[in-house]
Amino acid sequence: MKSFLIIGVFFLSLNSYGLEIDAAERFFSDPDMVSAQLSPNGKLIVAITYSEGVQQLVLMTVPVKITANTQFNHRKVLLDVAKFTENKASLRAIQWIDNNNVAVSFSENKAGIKDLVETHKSHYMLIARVPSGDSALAEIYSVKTRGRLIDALPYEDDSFLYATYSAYSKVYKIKPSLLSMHKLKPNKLSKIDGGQFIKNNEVASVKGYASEWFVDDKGVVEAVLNYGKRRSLVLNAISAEGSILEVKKWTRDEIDEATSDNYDVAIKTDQDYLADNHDIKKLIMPVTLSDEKDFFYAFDYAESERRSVYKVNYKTGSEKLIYESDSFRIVDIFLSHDDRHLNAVSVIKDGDIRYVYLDQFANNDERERGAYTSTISESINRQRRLVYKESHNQPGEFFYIHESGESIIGRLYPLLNGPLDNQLYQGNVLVEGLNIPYLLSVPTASNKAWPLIVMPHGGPIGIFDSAHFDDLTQFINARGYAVLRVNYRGSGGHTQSFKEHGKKQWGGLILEDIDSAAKHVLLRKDIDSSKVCLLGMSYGGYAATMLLIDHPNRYHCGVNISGVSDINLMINSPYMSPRNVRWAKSYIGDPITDYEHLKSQSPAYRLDQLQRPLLIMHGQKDTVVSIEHAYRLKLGLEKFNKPFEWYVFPDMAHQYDSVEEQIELFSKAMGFIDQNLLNH
Amino acid sequence: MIYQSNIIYFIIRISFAINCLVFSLSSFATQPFEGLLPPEKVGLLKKSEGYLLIDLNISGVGPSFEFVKVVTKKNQRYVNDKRLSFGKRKWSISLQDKSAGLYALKLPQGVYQITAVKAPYFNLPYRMSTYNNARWRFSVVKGQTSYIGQLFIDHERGEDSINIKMNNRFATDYQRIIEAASFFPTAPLRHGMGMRDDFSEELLNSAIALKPENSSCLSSNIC
Repeated sequence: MKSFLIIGVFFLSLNSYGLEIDAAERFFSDPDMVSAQLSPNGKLIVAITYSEGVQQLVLMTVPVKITANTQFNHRKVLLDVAKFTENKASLRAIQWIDNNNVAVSFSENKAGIKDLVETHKSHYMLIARVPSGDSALAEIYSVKTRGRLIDALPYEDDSFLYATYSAYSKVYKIKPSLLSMHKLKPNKLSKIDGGQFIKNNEVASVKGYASEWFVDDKGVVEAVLNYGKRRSLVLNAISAEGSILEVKKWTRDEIDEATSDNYDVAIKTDQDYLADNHDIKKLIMPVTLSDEKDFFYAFDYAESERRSVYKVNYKTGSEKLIYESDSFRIVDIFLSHDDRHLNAVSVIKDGDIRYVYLDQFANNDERERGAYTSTISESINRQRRLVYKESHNQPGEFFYIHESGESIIGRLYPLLNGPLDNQLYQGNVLVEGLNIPYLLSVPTASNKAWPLIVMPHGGPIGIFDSAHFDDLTQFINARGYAVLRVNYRGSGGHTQSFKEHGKKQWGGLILEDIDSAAKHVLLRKDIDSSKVCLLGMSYGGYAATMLLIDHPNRYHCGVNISGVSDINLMINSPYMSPRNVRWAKSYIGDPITDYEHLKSQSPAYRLDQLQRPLLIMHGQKDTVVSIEHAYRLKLGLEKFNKPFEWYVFPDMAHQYDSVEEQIELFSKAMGFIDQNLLNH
Repeated sequence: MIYQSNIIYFIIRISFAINCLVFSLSSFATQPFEGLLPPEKVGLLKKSEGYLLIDLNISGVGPSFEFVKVVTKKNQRYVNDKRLSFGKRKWSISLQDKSAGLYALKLPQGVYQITAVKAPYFNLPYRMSTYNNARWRFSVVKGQTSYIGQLFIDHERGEDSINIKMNNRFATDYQRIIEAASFFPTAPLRHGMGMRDDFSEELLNSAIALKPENSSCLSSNIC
């Protein structure tokens, strides 16, 4: 009888873990579609989609008659990455060249020379030609000459601008119709790339390596950012006659000071910094022309993680921050063809390229719900558009908009049907004279009081939680918990002053902000104040552990994922570049002069005071917050005989790198929370 | 006669000079430098010496590193000055054919600076200068065993860059470290990396410091 009972309990636990996985799979899945572009004539759509975790480039034909119920079920695969190459590869961006050709930025891992990194990856440009009929196979062409696409010239048939770089960097106008098929070796009678890289096709040139070319909406090369004397970088304007005029120059010293990991430079700037108490220097360099005359979109290359987009006029020195990514590193930016409006940014998320479409039309009511619509592509006559829509509880969807209606063409979360069953409340709480905004998501399935998960974001400086769709928040809501996210002082997405208030407040007022917001929402009738748990990643993991130690009466359990346990250890990490150390000394503290203070704010030294159960999860390959932090917690908890759970993910770095890791991570987290909140 | 005595005097002087030379050479010979050895093969300490304990996780063809002694005040453990004065002797440690694991070395008490790490790869030479970087500093205390971190040299490299780090993995590798240190029962374990780190001290000085057999869940998930 006893053994039957044990087997029963065993299968019950397996079954409940299986259910958690099933639920998690709906929220943490590969997307169906991540990017789509409408052909210049508005009759075809090309998109990057996923099929069983593999990327595909697909073509959709717009139906002649479009109604509200029109479904775009017919997808013709132009390129299946798994069939195209045996290597790990990805489609990084797509652009229509004309109505027959699509430019595809393609990246591929190769065997290369053993242990030599440079030989393991190659990026090249492919051109997918639209098949002439339904039964015709897609044809893939490529540019063999090393370089990159700088403008697809969608308004001009059969041509695009392509830049090559060597001692002289040049821009050529190339005809895709003269290129040869990908991997087809040229014979004696044919020339590489149709012999198009010749003087006659040259549009612009500059001495030295050009890192960026700037082309206006008519395909005219207006400026170039290239290396000049003594490895300086120079922004040069190019006149209609081809003459070059220097607009702005960055010396090698300026570049090194802001970006270099060279220790000699760091020593010099450390002394300068300490002597003059200067702010961390920016290095804002142009990426592309903007929608305003003489203004460029620009990145700050001194930013530790590139999360900001600026608009800069280098002639007048005017500079505006126009976009901040909430937490992910920006890879590239995407503009509308005609007015160069900033439409989207691509970011690295979960180890893959993802697109973040920017809110363009949100009114105040929509902003409150995190709802927005973003145009991502338009036909030349502007009669047809592709838009992306989402809200806090509506997973992102792609729509084709026509004069007579709209039809869905793809989804970011194919297994979720929105809107999901929860309500978003945005509020503020006053802490030490500063208004601290928070986001509270509450399930709406019944009128009961919900257990609460307080979920501090990572960073802490410059990162923020937005009202937009967040899969983790939605997953936790669906599991029957309310979720509180606090944009504590130091968070991004607000003013620079708000960010500066977070300086040296790691274990101080930032924690107080989170706790104050939690106290505030615990007064609500729809929140059960007897069931509160903390969950956080990175800084969020640190905050979760510290708040759990400090307020055992308020918080009943904690989940620390990739969290910092010893602040001095983190700043002294060998993976912190001198630039990052300078930043850390300014924003966190100096591990020499502030050692005792930072130690007193480090959970690894305060574990004797822990009274509530803690779950620790960490990636073995984490170089941002090394696994040493997790082991310090573990040894300390063993030393003081404190109960805890512990999981090491052998292949995980600082963040999960795959859907499978994400599912396992959050299924375990929710299992632990259920066990400690609901079963007690 | 005078001539003979001059010759004798000359021979005496020459032999004195040779003796001096032999003596000075033999003083080096009495301190043979063995390089890094597995802890069980390292001999007993002299009065002024301590053990250095380093973990290696390296790859590549013939890596090595060099270090020098930093001129400090007596019993100083950490040096935070930007400008350092170095002793004249330079130690060069070959890491060729060293498998992963903990190694030890006897050194006089003091603070040391690793000044360079070399990690050549076929026809691509590589030398990383570390002479003024506190992360590449360590201290040795007489009569004690100083853990100075894990030297990591990545097997993957760029044409002009390599990922070389000195990682602080005291807690992560705690079990292996105390097992290695157990070969030096009279030389207590301490943390000897260049940046201050109190964790080991708090753990080791505790009356209930963990020993491998007391660590109930080093390999299991739930403790």
